[in-house]
Amino acid sequence: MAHDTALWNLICRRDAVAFDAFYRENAPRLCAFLRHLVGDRQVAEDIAQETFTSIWDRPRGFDPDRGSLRAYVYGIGRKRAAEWWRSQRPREVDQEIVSMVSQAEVQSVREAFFLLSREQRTLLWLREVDGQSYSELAAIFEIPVGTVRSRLFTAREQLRSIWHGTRQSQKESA
Amino acid sequence: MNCGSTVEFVSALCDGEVIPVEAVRHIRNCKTCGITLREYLEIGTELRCEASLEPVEAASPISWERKKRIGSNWLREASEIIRIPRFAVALMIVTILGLSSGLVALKTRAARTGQILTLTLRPSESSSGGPVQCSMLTDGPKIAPCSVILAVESGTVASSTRIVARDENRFELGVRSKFVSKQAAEADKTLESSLSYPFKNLDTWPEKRLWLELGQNVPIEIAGGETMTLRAAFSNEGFSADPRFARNPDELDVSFPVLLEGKIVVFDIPSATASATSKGGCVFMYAPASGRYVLSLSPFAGSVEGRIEQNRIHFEMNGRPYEFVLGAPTADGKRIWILHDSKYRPSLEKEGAQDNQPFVGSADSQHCD
Repeated sequence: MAHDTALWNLICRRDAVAFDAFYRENAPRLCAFLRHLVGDRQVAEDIAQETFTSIWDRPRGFDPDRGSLRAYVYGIGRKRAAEWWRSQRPREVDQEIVSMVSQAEVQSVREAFFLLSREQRTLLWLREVDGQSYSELAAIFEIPVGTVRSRLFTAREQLRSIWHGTRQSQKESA
Repeated sequence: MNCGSTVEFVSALCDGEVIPVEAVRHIRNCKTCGITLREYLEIGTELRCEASLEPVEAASPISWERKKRIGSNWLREASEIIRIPRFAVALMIVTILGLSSGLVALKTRAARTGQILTLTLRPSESSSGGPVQCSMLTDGPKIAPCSVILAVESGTVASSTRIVARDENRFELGVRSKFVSKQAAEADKTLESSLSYPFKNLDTWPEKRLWLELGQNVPIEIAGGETMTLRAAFSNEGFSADPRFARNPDELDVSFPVLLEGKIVVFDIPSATASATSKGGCVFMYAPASGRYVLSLSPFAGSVEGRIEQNRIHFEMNGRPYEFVLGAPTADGKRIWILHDSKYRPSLEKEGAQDNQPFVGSADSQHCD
């Protein structure tokens, strides 16, 4: 956290080298996170760049007592993704590519993962793959740490339940 | 404590959180909770393996030094001081920004396409366990190692493989493996020795270096007398993270909802999200002065039918058009049912609840009324 405060002070003093290093380290992971939210690589990249640009242009609002700098950036990215969606006019989705995975068709943890709700997927992804801590997740989703814990548990339990059900039905059919 | 009251702590333990002593005692002595913990860890490992299939692109370079601060202060001051219509100020600013954007936005999109290497780890023939596959990118700034848990005849092997170097279709791999026999796991009841933390202290395990050609089977000896075979192949299959490509058909998501009556904003609940995933489940929203809206993908008493268009929900009530605008696509179907209860107040349902705070939530079909 002391590192975050020192880095934030550098950013506020317009240290482009420090900010560029921060950007290079975090932008790819933010992009991966945003792809889960917007479903489009290019849009995710644009939103990630807008997120970092907005912080560079107007460095304010980060409070180290409320979470890490990384969580602060993800929180802004999440809000910008929601703003992007809210600004979109509905478009026709190609039904050919919208292939539902039903519970009976689940072959892997990956497919079971996609049967979770979007929020559960995002939360579990950030925790398991991105390694975000409970306090970081609490800052990103603006929920209490206790809620992070219970939602992660619910997501894991649901994924396990889907996966168990699939294996059970596969055994029975065999 | 029993399994029911402990299971949430099993999940927390997975995440390296400190949990109550009573919960630890129960988990240590409970076979069911031990299995749950192992399965949670396996899920995490599998997701990380899948994630390694996702191409990770380096951030597009941006020249931060050349990016001048587009401060809001002078913008605000200009619109306040200059005695010309605000629209004219806005138009002037748009023009200036349009002209300067070509100079400022020095973005070079780096397009890299890393090949995906799929590793197959096969236990010895005498083993009852089958082969395990996992995949990783061959190129990128941070390549996640390929970590798997392998069931072998006399126990379990946790193995983590990383790419050290590459020469065309030959890869130098660094393999760290640890064997835990069934007897050792049973003799020592502590969590650390029972594969609850299969990759704990991974960095301290000895790393074996080997060169592997595509299609070649390389045997690897593991402490404890076990062996496994490692084989590598390129895979062209990626991991689609596109949320539109797969979704639970019963899933209803509501995030950052805005409700419009015609073009008038009825309410806006930023940063709030809720999801219902079970059949007949519902999402509800409460806003002071508006009451509660209940949304479900199945019809229910008193509801009106609406129409879904990605992140928008259109419906009519009392002859007036309404539209929910959401921060993400709400469901994959086209039909939705909405109930408005203008008299609802949280305090009527729960004593002491605050009526002046907006919120969203979800419930299963049993609790949607």
